Amino acid sequence: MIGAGLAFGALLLPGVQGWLVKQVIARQPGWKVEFEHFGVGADGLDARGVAFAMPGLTATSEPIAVRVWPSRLLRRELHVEQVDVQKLRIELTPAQLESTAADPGTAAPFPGLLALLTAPLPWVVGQTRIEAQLVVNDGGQSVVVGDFTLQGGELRAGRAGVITYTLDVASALLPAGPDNRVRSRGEIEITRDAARGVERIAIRGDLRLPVYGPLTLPAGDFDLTISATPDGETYAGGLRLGPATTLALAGELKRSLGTLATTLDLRTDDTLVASLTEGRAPTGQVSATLAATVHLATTDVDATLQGDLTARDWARLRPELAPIPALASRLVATFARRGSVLELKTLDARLDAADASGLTAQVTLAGPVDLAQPTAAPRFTLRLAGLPPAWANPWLGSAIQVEGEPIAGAWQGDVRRDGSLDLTSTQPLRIGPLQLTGPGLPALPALTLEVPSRVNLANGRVTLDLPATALTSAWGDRVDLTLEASHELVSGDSRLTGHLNAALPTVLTGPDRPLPFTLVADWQAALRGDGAVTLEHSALELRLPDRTKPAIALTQREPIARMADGVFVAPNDRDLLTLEADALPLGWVSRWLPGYDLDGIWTRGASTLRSPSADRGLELTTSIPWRFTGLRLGVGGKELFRGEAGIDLDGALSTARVEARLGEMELADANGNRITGALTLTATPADKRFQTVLEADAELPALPHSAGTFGAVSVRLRTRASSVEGEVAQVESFHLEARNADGPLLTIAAPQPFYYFTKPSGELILSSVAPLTLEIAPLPLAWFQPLLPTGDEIEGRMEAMSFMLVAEPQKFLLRPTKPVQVTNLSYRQRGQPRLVAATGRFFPGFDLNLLHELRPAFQLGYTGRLHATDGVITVGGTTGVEFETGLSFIGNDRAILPQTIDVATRLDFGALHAVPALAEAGMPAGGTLITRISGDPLGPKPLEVWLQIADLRAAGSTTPLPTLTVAASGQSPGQSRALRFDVKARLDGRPQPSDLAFTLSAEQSAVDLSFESALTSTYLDLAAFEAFAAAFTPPAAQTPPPAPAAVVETAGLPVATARPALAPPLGVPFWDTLRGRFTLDLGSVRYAPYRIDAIRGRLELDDRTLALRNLTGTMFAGTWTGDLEVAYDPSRPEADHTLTAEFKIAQFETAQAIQTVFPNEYGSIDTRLNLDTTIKGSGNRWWEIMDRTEGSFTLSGKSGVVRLTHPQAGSASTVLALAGAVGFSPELRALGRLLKAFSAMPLDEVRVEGARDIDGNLSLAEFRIDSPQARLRGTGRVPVVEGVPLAGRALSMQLELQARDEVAVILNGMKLLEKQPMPDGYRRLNQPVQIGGEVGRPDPSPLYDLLARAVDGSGGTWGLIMRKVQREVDRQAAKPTR
Amino acid sequence: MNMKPPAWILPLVLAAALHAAAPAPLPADTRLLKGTLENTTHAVSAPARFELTFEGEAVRGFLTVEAPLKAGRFPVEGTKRGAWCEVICRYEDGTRTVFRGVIDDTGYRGTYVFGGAGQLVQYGRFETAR
Repeated sequence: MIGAGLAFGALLLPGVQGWLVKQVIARQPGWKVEFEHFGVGADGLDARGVAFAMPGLTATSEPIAVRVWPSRLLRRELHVEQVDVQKLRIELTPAQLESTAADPGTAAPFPGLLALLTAPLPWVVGQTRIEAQLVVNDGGQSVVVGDFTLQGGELRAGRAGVITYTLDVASALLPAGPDNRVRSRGEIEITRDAARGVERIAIRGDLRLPVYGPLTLPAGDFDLTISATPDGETYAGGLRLGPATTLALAGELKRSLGTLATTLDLRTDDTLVASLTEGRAPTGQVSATLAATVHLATTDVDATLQGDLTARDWARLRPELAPIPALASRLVATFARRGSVLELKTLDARLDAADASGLTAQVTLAGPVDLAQPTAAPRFTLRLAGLPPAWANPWLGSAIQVEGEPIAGAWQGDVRRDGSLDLTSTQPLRIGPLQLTGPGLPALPALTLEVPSRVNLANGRVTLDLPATALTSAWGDRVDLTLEASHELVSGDSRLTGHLNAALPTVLTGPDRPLPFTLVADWQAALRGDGAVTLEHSALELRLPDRTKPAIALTQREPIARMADGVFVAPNDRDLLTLEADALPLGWVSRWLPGYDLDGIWTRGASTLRSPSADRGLELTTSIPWRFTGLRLGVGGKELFRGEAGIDLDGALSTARVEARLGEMELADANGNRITGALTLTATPADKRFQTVLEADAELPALPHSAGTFGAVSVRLRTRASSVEGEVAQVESFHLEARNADGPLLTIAAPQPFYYFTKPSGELILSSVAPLTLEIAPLPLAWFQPLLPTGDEIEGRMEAMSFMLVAEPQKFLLRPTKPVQVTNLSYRQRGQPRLVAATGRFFPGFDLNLLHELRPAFQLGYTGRLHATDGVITVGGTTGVEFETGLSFIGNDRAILPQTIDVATRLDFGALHAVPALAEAGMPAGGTLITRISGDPLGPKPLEVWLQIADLRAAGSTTPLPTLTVAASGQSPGQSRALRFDVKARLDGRPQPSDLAFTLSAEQSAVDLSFESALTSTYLDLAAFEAFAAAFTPPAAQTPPPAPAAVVETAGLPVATARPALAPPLGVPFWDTLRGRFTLDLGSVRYAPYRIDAIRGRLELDDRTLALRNLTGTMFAGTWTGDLEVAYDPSRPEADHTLTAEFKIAQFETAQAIQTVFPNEYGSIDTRLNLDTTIKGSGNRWWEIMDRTEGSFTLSGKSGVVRLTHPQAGSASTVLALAGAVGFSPELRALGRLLKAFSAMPLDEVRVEGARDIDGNLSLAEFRIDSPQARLRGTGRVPVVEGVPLAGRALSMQLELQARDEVAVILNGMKLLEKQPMPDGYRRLNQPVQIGGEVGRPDPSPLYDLLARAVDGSGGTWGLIMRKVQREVDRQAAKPTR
Repeated sequence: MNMKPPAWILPLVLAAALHAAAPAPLPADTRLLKGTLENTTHAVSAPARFELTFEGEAVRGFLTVEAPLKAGRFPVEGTKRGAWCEVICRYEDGTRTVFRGVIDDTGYRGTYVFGGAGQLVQYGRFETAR
């Protein structure tokens, strides 16, 4: 008992307890535990400084406290009230764990996870708090370090307890960064069953994954539920990353079957890839399912992997991939594990296009493969079909496009036991028939390429064997190619051997002129990994039928190597490469050079490339100079050269020295023109020094158009250039001279060297010590004759010219030393002189500041100024034009803009009128036009235009017209590219000048001028402007004055009949580029003798319409209104402009209208009238439209006075009218009463309706005047008279007089009325009356003659009766007064 | 009585008549025009002033130029036809500067050329106003 008590007491000692624990732990192989303190008391376990170790795992801890209820142990229940573990550190070394893994063959079948958690006793866990650090080691380093905490508990039988967790893990596998950690928070819900086990474990948590390079995974969450079932367990869970990526797990363990079946299902889209590639990836979906069954008793596994991938929008990856449609791929693979054998039983991968292209690619495993057995030799097949060749077009660019049959081929792949891979064609890759097209390509036949191939990858080497590649064409061309290539993956060394045998009857030359070339080529080359290339052997022969020697033979005699540092290495003093040409036709080259036409024969030539010694590099010598015969070169269908050419090419290239000599250059055309020359270049690259000499001579006896001008011309060019120091070089001398028998024609010379160098930016700097000189001899203008249109002839002479060119750094100045001058210039078109005896001269000048850079990017900027000073053009010895021009500009390689402009010109119309072409175009007969344009279109100064036309005279006139001055000031508002001009015009004249002001806008990018402003004027004399415009009107457009031949007499009145033909249509409205609208505000508009005051309205111009709308004004004290529209319709073939207009004058005073023409007349009708006028017209020019208007009008008025007085009414008439009762006969007294009535008849109504014909003649269809005692009814005509206002034009009217009351009684007494009255009581005069005179002053004398005859018998006239009245008056006056 | 005039009478009468018929001299018109000369070849501007007197088509006067162009007051002469005006200034022997342009009521503007004495021709523009 004592012993037992001692033993029990000893067991209560912590040291004993700790020793016992160590002994128990140490019984496990490799297990070990140490602690600073360990004790088990009545209420639980207390430990400190615990250090536990087992293979692959160590754990250390500061305090561990576990409180249990001992009393519950007595009831066979483990009741842990609290677990408190702090600073627990667990280190895992997976590699060591594996080494201790149990042999699966001897292990018991996996019973399920929950089954493993079944405890020997019923258990309860109250509160748990664990703070731990987890470390995973690999390779001696900590690859994962993380913290985790567990807190919670209350795990009791039949209920669920919840433990929350946090996990924060960093890994060396992740990129560095504060946020690159895996973090998760969540809870573990553990549901106890009623006994000792666990019924369900559910884990839910969030998951934050780190940023991995450019890949940012979205925050996610996961869950996993393990539930017990009667026959085992089920597993369900999922991981969700963002809205598109899910990984689902489902599984079930069935103990009765001994199986664990699981399914993993992954679905995602392109979201993650897009975030990784910033959107530059195709879109699509991925799904994959792995279904596996584990046989728990044997651990055998059967698994199937099925994956689907669809991808579209390939252009997002690269624009060139745009033609590729949506692609769908599917992978199906089955695996099986039996014991230690893991077998890939089947694999089938297939790619299909979603469109109708029929693309299919398939890889199929031929048989099962043991993946764990390295000696396996899997075989697979690869088939490709339906690949459209057009998909290559975006890669080929616009130069070549391809269309053709889909590409197909099949290969068998074998992975050998030694690890090598063979890929051998079972069906040659067939490309074609293909049709190649391109803007620079001739018509080519369909081509077909068949490529049988074998690729081998073994021992770090890739070899490609193309044993019998054939390219065939539909025209019978065939190229056979064999090629062997190898590449060492480690060293990068490659070898290439090839042989090409081609029979090309038509591809090179075209089907229209077949030339059966045969081409044989061999080559053997090696490329070292360091970049050195050795061409060991190469040869090329081009042969033609029936010739023993090849047309071209290029033969490499010795190996040539270009080392990595650029040095060529070859055997010394041996021929390396020879080129021989023998009668090679060149005509076929034209087929490959669109726009060029080349023909001829490369007759002979032989050159050899040698390496004379190790330090002399390569040397090219020409043993037989190259010679070309029958050479013909044309461009764009125009032959430029026909003749022969030759060249002798020699040179040497080494690291120390470069020499080149183009000797015996010779070019001779069939006309005898011949150019010879030589170019030598010597350079030493080490010190960047060089010298070059170019000498060329030309004898040109037959230059185009020279036969009658220059004759034979010879040209001599001598120039020499060399380096000076550093980057600076100089053109030591330059002299170019072209001369004929009379002397030099053109000389360009540098009297002193000029220097140049290139700046590091690539900018070329030029500087001349003395100006270069350019001298040009006089040039007969007849030399240009062949360039003129047929039927045109030119005479004259371009006088000698002389220029100096000064080059300063970034600046060039061109200066004339004499004017550019053309003398005795005459021009005729089809024999008609258009310009006679003209001369012109000016001094041209050019300043240019130029900056450019080539590196790092090309940049170009410049400013410059063009000058034309002291310019004079004379015609027939008289100065017609003088001009001064300066135009500066600024630009770069993309655009050029005007900067400042200064133009001043003086035109003498009189001198220019002598030029027939100008006279026909409307040049006035006299006057001057002085123009000044100045300003900075891009700068702050406005662009100002000022012009003045003075002393203007029309043809046939000696009186100068008033001076017109126009000033316009334009500026660009803000950043606008439009110029806004304020325009003011003044036309001097009497009684006062006319003036106009408005605003115009000009868009710099367009030709239109637009306006949106007020058009204001205080006074406008339209007749003066019309006369001004008429002076510029072409003679053919001017209305011909009435000529006898063009006028016929109708009823004694002239009527114009013949009209000039219309001018041809302009094709544009006559307002052309003007667009916009004006608000009219015109003080007075005068068109003598008429005048309209206070005109308001709108002028609108658009593409098709010119309109004057809402016109108002005052005229003849009446209100003037009007609307006018000119419509442009290009579909009208004869006259594309039509005019419609309507004008009205309300309540105008007839007296004012008449007095504009007859200032002293009251007028026959004194009333206020309304005038309604409609007008229409058509034509192709504005003057044609105005000249060809026709229309109708109505005049109406009420109340007033009508005067039917005789034009020569004298005192006798007055006496007769006023004193008719004094002593006259009854007839005369009656006449006197009638005259009194006629002299002022009250007016009830007046109405006139008429029309204006196209020639301007007026016809009066109705003339009606109603008064209480007399009515007038009639018709009439007013023929047009040029230059005479309407009121002054001749009038012809047929009038009917109707009378009643007193007038009827009087006329009836004279027996002048019809007997039968009309229904309304009026009685007609028994004969009509013809009224003449003018519109504003009608002559009713025929009526008076009629009255006179009635009073005084049939022979009386108004004059006779008035004389009789006068005598009676005189007689009565002589009687004594009573 | 037949009196024959002495032989010297006719020339005297003709001379008197011609003298009487000769147009009276036009009143001189003098304008002071201030502005700027801009040498566009060397991109240099300077204030300048024309004092021009017009008699018929003849123009005389002075041009005053300030630095940085060659400063001084130089005589000028030229012609004016309508609004077209050409004035020549000789700064120094052998050189001449020709101003050509348009003169109106408000000013005289145009371009000029300097050359002579073996010097490279220089161009410019001028703008003067009353």
